[in-house]
Amino acid sequence: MPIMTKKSPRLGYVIVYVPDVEKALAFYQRAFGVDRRFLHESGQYGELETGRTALAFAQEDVTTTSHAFEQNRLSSKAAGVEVAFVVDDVHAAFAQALRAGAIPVVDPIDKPWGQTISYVRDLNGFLVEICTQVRE
Amino acid sequence: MNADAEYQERAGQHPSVAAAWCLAPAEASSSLIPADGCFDLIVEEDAHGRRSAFVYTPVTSAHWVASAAGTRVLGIRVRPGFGAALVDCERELQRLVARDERDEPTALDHLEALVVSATSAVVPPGLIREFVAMAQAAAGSHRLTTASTGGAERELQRACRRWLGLTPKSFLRIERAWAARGAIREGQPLAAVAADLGYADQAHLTREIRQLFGVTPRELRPVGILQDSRKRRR
Repeated sequence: MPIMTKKSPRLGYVIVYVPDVEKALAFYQRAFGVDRRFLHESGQYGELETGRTALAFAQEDVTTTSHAFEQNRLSSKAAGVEVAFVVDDVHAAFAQALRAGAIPVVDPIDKPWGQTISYVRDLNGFLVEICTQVRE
Repeated sequence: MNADAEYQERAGQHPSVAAAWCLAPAEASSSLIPADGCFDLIVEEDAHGRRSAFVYTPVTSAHWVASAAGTRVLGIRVRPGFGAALVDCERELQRLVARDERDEPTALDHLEALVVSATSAVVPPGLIREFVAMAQAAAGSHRLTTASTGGAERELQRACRRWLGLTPKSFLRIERAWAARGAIREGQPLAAVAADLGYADQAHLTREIRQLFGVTPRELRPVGILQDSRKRRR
């Protein structure tokens, strides 16, 4: 009997559904300093430079799944999910995000184990954590 | 991109016209203009209704053009071979456009008719018609050399410069890139597109797409999660 090897799937994309992809890309560049990888010519899909797993945006009303989700809006509660950006200086990154128009949710807190965390909502109300790396 | 909502294009109604288009940005914006091997008559109308017309000649790289808020730009893009007529009639067209009182919604139809009547006397020679037809049929294939048109090389060079505004080599290069662009937008793998159309390799194809269209192949490839990301132009 051959030896079976099982390869666990790679996390390829985290895709946030938004009303305006180009605006979302521009906001993430200003607020979090994450560069744009590309914007599709249709303007309906774009990715950020986030390494192997792409943080992407898709226009909410033209995706194959448009019937199946609640739209992200600042006027309603955030979806039960977040993305976290790991930075060296949370206080500075948090301040930069607010200057770019992010809405504060949790101001920077120093956790007893040495991690600093904070939360904002992005231009569409999506939850974004800004934190330091957990020390090993 | 957002400005695309303010860009409209329709096919030409006359055989010599490829397309009639209109750009009316609500706010100041920039448009990426691909190299398409075509001449356009372009009419710009500023916020005060002042109108100017000029002939846009083919280029071999994509570039950005800025438009101010409140301007309206109309264009009549003629098919390859009919460009020289626009150049010959530029003065006359400028005069006609400046005098023109007409406005939306008939403006494009009217402008197209104006271009057609002003340029109808200038007809591309058989050599050029054959060369264009052959280049387009072969999708700019690398197998198509200038020799296969049967015309003498020098004569073809001269004729292409006058009638196409490009060297034969540049015209073939643009036709090939448009064929590649179409295939990429259909979702064909880049390596296959490069091989089919005779690019040296995938990197060569990517360089050409970047230079002629100002985008990366990834910006053209269909996106899986969208209902239909394909968009037609040209």
